[in-house]
Amino acid sequence: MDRFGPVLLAITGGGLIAAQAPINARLKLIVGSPLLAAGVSFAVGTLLLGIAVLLTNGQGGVIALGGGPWWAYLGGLCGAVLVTATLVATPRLGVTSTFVAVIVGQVAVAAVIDRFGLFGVAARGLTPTRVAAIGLLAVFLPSVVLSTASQLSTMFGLQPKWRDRVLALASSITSAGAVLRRPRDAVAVAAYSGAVWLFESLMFALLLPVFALPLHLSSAVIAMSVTNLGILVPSSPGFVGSFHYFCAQALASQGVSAGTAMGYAILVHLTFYVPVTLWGAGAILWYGIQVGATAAMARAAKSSPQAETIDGVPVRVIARLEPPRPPAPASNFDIALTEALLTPHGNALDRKALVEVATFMSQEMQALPARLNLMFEVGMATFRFYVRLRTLRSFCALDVERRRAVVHSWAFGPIGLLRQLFRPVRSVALLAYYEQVAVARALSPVPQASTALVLEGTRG
Amino acid sequence: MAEAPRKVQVLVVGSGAGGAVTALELARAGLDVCVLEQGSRWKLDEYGRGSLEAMRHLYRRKGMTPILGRVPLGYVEGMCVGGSTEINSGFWHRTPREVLLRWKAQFDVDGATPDELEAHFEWAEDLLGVSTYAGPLPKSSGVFKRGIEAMGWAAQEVPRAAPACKSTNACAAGCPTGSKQGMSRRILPEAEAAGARLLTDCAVQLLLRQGQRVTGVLAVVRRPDGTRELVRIDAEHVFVCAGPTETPALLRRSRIKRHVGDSLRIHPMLKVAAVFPERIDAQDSVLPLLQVKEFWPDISLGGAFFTPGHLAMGLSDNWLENREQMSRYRNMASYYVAVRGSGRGSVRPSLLGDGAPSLRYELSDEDVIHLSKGLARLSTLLLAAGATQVHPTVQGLPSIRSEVEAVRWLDERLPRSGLSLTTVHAFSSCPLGERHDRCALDSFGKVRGFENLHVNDASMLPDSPGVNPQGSVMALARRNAVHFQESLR
Repeated sequence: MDRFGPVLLAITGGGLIAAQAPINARLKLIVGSPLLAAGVSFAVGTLLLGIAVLLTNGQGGVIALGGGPWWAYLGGLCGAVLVTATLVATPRLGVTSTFVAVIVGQVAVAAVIDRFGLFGVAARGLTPTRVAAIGLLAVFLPSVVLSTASQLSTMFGLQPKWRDRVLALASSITSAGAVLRRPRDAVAVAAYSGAVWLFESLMFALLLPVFALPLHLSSAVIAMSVTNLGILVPSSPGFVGSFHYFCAQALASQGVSAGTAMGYAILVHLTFYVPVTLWGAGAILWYGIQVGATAAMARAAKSSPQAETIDGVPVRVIARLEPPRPPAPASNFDIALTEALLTPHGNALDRKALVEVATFMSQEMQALPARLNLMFEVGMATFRFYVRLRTLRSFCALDVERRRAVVHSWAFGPIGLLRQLFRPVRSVALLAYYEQVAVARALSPVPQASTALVLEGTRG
Repeated sequence: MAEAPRKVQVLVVGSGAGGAVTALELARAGLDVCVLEQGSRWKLDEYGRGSLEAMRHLYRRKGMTPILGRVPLGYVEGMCVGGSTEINSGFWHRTPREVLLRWKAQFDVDGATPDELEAHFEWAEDLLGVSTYAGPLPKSSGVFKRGIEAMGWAAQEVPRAAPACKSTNACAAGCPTGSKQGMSRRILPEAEAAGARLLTDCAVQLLLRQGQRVTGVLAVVRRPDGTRELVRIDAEHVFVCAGPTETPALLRRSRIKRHVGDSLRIHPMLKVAAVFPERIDAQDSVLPLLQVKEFWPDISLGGAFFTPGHLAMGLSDNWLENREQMSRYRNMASYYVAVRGSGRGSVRPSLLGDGAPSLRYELSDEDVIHLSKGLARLSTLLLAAGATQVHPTVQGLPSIRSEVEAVRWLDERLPRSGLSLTTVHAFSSCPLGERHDRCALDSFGKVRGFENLHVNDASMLPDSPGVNPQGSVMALARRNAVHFQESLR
């Protein structure tokens, strides 16, 4: 129960911060400048705190001032920035939108602080913030989801049958999300969904002039975001009602009259759902039969006995999982990089051997634990970006000599981190290249290194 | 088919040096034993197909399981039927007396005295045919021996679990002649003959717990047709023998954390490639079989696995200067400096992705000093043996060409930022012993706080054995298995 008090206090504090914004906005109207308003606000706060310190005899003493890390005295700065920022934002966004944005920032920074134990906060594995985030991140944290599911079902004393179902559910969620675990794919999915969101908000925006509203992308984005969040609440089919309510509310919060806002909401809803509904009706007619057949097959598969023996070991099958994804083939960048790493001065490598080495190298890098693979991908993306800035061309478009030079400037350059980035790729590529029998054989009988490295008719 | 599945009496997770011995001992005692192995079963004619094939099929994560820290280390372990015993060189050491005494003093291990373990070592040595190399020493061993004699240092030819070694230099890719006695050769087949069942391609995800007991495991099985199933296997007793990195990761994922994965120890290793005026053809023979004991336990010197590919990797840190050396590979051989490792390491299941453990080890200052001194001594030895150049795997360090250049490292420290280290020896991530403040297991491998959960692999070694660990793992595993089976009666 000793957590109840602090939670209540934090909620009260949070509530007061929300009240502070409109109060300060009024103050700004009186004094005329956001900075002056913030100053006055803090002066009052300082005065009250000063009185409080005097009344409580200032436990701790002024002598202790000056000790501790320098940043310990800058907490007030954060508050000043926050108050000024809300003063600027509230008239434009409204109280609710401003604080949604403030909370997003808060949660993100709080999670980072908790995770890494910044500013002397004890680093902790599982804060309430992260418990909430687990739902969203199930995709990326499959093992946590599975072990949490197991622990919870044991804690609540579930029967084995129900425990198995919980675990089956947990692992089918995580295995379905496996596609997002490869950094490249996650980035692609993020880019696609970003494009979808942009497209959708354009649609919201283009319908604004129909009601003689000014064409502001910002109002469209707010309307779209609020609406999309609103319709996450389970409601009627086609979100009739909930869609209109949230869309109209979002617009009304920006000073549009209620009637116009509702009209806009109805139009947007029709624009989105009528074509989709018509297409869907047609599709159901076309594909109805196949859907029925698939469902029947799924039922048949489920009725097979769950208790089995595999290679003499008695097991109980809980769930069937997605097959693992095969590693991605070597990209053009992988091949171009391999060529730059291997080619000695003035020599070309056999294309087939090059692709083989690049494929091995790329598969090895993908085999790295996810965190390291992510670090590697980020490093390589930075490298490619750097090359593009420096040469105004993509890495793959450069000729071998220039590729070699730029790779060497990182791989053997003065910066340790950049050297570390290239060390694994280089050693794996060299291993794969010199393990080829033909390469080794070509090395020895002709001692001159320059001709010895040329490859003909490689057989690995 | 439809009746409720039985419980397995003893479930062994992993089929390496620890798991195979546990399975054999318990199956022979008449217990119902099932072994779950994450890797696959390979036939003899699929072994020895070169480093790349081996990395793809026999190594965990295709050989990409580095240990991170300020100085990252390359680390590999086997993931196939037989575990790392299929891809190591088969070097065999009994746990040195001094090490066992140290374990007693520091971890208060009950038993495990040299006398008690002798019978278990004899048992394993007999099964594996442990012996010294039968033929004349290959050239790469010969030149090393020449250097040892010139220096007058204490050394030994290390016995191996490869009684009829054909010197094909395929140790690290699975021995295709079947001479090296990996667990898949004799121990596992005998365990299966005694009734143990082996399920391969089965990755255990989680231990299922009910209070002080483990009721079974949750595992993903890959079927021959490529589909995957999540299965539950119920068991009366569970032995986790998944290796020094996966065992603590599995325990921690299952929320068993007390002193688990907090004390990973390794033997950090620095390699050198030496160029000789004469032909060595190290790529065609078994790796150098001698180890210098003069500076043990802090520093050991010995021979490393050699192929043109591995040589290129070793030279890659200074590739622009070294690449020309590749054409002289027939005159070269690789050797190593290994240190006991007094730094601290940890194993944590990673939250991101598929839960691969994240491995950390911070090299201690003492480690760096020992590596530097070791490099000085190894280089002196090789130069005394006739080598013209010694290329260490240290970025920015030119090749060492004279003994005067070599002895510089007796007094100076190698730069951490340039070190390119590897290790193939990891242990102590779940130490056993009676010291409650540092041991995850009791003196016989039972996990503290559990009635029916055991750990019986390299994770249980309380501290670094200072020698190739396979012998220590097998002898302790057999001792613990015998103790367990006696306690059942």
